[in-house]
Amino acid sequence: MKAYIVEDHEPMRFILKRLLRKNFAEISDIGESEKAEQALQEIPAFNPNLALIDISLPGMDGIEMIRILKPQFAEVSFLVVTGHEVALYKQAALDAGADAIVSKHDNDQILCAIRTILNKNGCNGQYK
Amino acid sequence: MKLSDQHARALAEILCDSVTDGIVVVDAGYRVLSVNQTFCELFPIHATEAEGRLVFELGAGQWDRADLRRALESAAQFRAPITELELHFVKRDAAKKTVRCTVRPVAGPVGNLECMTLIFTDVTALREARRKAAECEIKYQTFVEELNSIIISIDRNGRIAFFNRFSEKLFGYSREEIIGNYLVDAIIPRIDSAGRDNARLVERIFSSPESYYMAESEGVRKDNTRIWFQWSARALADQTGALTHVLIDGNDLSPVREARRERDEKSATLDALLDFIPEGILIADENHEIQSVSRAMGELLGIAPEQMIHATEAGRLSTLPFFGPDGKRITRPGDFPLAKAADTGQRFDNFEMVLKRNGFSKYLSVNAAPIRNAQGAVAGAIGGWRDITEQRTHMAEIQRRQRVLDAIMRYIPIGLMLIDKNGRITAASAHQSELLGIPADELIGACVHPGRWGLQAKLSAESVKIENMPSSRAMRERTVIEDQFVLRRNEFLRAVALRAGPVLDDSGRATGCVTVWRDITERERALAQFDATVKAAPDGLVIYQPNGDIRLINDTAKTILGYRDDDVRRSLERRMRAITLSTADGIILDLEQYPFMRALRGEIVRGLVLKIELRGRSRWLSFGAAPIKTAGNMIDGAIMTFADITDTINLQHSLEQSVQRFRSMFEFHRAVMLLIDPGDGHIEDANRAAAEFYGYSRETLRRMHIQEINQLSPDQIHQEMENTRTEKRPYHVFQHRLAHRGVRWVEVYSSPIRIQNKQLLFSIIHDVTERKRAEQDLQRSTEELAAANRDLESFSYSVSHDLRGPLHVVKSLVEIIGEGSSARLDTNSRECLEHIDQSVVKMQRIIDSLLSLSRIGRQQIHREPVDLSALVRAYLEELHRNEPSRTAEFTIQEQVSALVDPRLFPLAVENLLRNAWKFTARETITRITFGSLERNGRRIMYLRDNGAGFSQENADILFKPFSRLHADKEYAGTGIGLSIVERIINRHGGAIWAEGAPGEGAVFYFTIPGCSNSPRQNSTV
Repeated sequence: MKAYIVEDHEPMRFILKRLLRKNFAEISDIGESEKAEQALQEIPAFNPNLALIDISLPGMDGIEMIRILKPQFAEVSFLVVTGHEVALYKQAALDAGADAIVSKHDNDQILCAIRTILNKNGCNGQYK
Repeated sequence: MKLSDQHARALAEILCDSVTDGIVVVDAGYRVLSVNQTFCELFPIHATEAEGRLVFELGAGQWDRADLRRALESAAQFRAPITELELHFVKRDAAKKTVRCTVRPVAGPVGNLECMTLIFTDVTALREARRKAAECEIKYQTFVEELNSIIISIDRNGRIAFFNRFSEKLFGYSREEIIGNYLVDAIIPRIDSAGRDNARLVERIFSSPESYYMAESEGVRKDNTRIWFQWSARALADQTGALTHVLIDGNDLSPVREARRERDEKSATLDALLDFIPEGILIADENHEIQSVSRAMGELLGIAPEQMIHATEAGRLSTLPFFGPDGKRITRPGDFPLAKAADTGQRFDNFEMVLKRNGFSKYLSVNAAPIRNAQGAVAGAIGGWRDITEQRTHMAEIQRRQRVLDAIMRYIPIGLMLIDKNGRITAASAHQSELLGIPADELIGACVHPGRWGLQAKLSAESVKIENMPSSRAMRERTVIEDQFVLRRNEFLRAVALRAGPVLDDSGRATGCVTVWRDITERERALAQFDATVKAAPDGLVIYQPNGDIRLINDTAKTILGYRDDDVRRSLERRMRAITLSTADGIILDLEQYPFMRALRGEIVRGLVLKIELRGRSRWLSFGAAPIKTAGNMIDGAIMTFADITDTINLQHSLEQSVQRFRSMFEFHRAVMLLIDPGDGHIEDANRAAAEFYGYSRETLRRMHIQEINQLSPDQIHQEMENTRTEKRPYHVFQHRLAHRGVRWVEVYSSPIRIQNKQLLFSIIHDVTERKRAEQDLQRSTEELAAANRDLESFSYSVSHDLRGPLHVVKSLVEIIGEGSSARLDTNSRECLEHIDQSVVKMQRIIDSLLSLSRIGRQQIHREPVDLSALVRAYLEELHRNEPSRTAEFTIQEQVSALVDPRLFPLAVENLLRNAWKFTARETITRITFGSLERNGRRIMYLRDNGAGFSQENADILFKPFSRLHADKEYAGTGIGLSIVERIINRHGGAIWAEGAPGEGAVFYFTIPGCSNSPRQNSTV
């Protein structure tokens, strides 16, 4: 199983990678980029099962990126991880094709959302 | 040829056996010698059984009869050559038989008795026939006797042979008397009343009975009276066919004859009637064929009666120009009256027909009725024609007059009634009916009834008696009577004037009367109103007669002029003696110059102010006077009014003084004052201070308009002047342009003022430029402050928000370090990491609180009723659940609710309760009370705790963000919770304050506009 992270803030990318490695043994490979444009080029080749996408990115934003990718890669689960208030972007993210959206300030919520997406047990799927 | 004995015997035997009678031969000793075949068949017996036996023994003993013995004995002695007797016997087969037995002796050669023959003839059938015939005869006799017809038979000689009972009754003879008498003479006269000779009647009957069928003859009864009867002859023949008798079968004809006679008589009467009756009569049969015509009918139609007989009604009449009442020509046969009556079987009365001939219309009224026979079937019709032309003309005239009368009654605008001598109303006008409120049809025919009509005497309100009614009096006194009354209808009263005049016949007797009712309510009302107006007038009012006498004077006038009642009736000179009238200039007037005297001469006086001196007192009066002119411009008096204007005159004097005072105030006051015409804004006057302020001379200002000074548009200025004039707004702030010092802000107090009958605006102007400038500065800084606040809010939002990211990263990294390499870290490093972690958590909490606080300012408030009691209970229970080790007692008043934002307000409640919960943590029992109370008409909610409390000096800083009254160690917190509470309550337009003392707990009070609660009811948890 493969995951891909789009996040411009490097420490945050680091934290996300670590979260995935530590909690999901089945994830063998993690790709990453700090820009949407770069991700658009890499994701088709990388072919991840899960993509964690930040909204505020230099250049194209994360939601726009999902809007472009989701029709071509329906099997990829897109999880929006944002520092903004979730309520402000929830509708836009889901409309663009995201599977879920969580606050990047709460690791527990991020884990819970990933588990729900990967259809694993042990989480009741409550996240904002 | 001689036969041999044997041969003869054989022949005799054959003969005996073939005859139809039974033959028995017996000897002298009555023994049977022989029997023939017929006998054997008759009595079924065998010849051998009979021969040799005594004859009496035959027939099973039935023949042992005395008469048979006697017959045989008699025959044996030849006493009677033939003896016949009848024997009845019952045959073996039970058939009854009757036989006739003939006994003959047969003499021997010497005359001796050789033998006897008994010849038996079967007469059973004959006897039966005879019996039936006899029965028939009885029936016939009964029938003939009892029949209600004459049954008489006569023989060839004309003698009466039979006379039945009916005939006995009819002719009065008994059968014994009449039988044997000759028919003619006995019951038919030889010469009858019609002159017919009946002498040879019997002969004629016998010669041809069949020609007498339904013949009529006159009969004579025993008492010699005559009757008529109708009869038929029937020939009676004997066996040989010879005519022996004639049966006369007849009926009494008298009733028929009588009817005929009557009919003939009636017919004669009818003819006479038709001849003399003045009406036109037509009688037709069921085929509408005319049977009888009266002479008058012929005259009516101009056709001889004979020409009408046997013609049909329609055939004859349709040749004449007949028209129906509808003006259509009558041509259809069925439309003529007789045909109509006959066809419909109904009677028609007054069927109108018009015969138009030679330009004249003859109006005919026809009555027609069907004629019915005894069975009720229509057998014809009879019609009577009457010429009603004259009547019609007469009627038309009456109708025309009636119509004129009706029209008068309908349209005349007065109450008009015609009353007959019995007091009965024969006609009434519509107005009368309306006046009395009684429908015209009820009124007509009724009697004059003042009581029912509600007619009352004008003054006493008593019901008017019938004998006092003008109609009754007019007829009684034979003159015109007038009177006035009051008519009470329901609750409404009307004044009515009645006038009644008699209708007199040639001999001067009253045969009725005419009454006229006029509704004079309006007139009376007008008079009453005039009277009331005069009485109520605030002015003195006097009406004079042409000679100067007082006709009417009101109380005001009496008071002003000092008249007593007897003064009013005094003459002009005497009245005027006590009064002196003088002008304002002090000139005493002559009587001739008095206003009413001038009016009596035709002059009109208006607004003449005179001083009146009366019993030492002087008053100022304003007079008006005018002549009262009647038709032909004649002066019929004068009316004079006057008002006491002494007070007004005095007031005027004091007003003049106050104007004077105003003038000097205006001139010399230091305040800037203007007098402005609100019509066009012209500055009527400006005081010295104004000249100084505006920098124009007073003369220049008086030529200017306010529009040249005020900086508003002319329309706005006009509007503001209008507001001032109508006293809508007395205070304004304007910008006024000065001559040299530019534009200044001025405050203007302005009010309408009346000077010399002109409405002006009196304005006092203050220069407020400096103050205005200070205000503007203040407003500007307030706005700047608000903007700064808004900036600060969004700044604090974005700062807090942006801070969260890095802080999260720091916290995550600390965790990673802690997880991965804690073993490799020394104690100091681990402690440092722990402190970093704690600080990060605290900072996160502060940031979250700051975000909440900044959100409150940005959020819209949507109010809904929220049950605060429930909210408080839910939060307290949750807090207690999280710290179950604490002992707590909550008292919550039920059903305290408020109109608040259901999303935002719970945050305030939560922070307030969290605060109370936090500061009671060190108490043995936590006591928190929530409720509401009313103070100065406001509902105030409160939350009381028994916690650490605070000093009242610090009450104000409780709600300031980050202000903390206790060490963090004692009570951990961000210091923002109560700020959030205050912020939310303020956003709802409410207020919060706190009371407390250190160690004695705290009470937080807050108000929310629109808050309500039901009766107090506490619940303790």
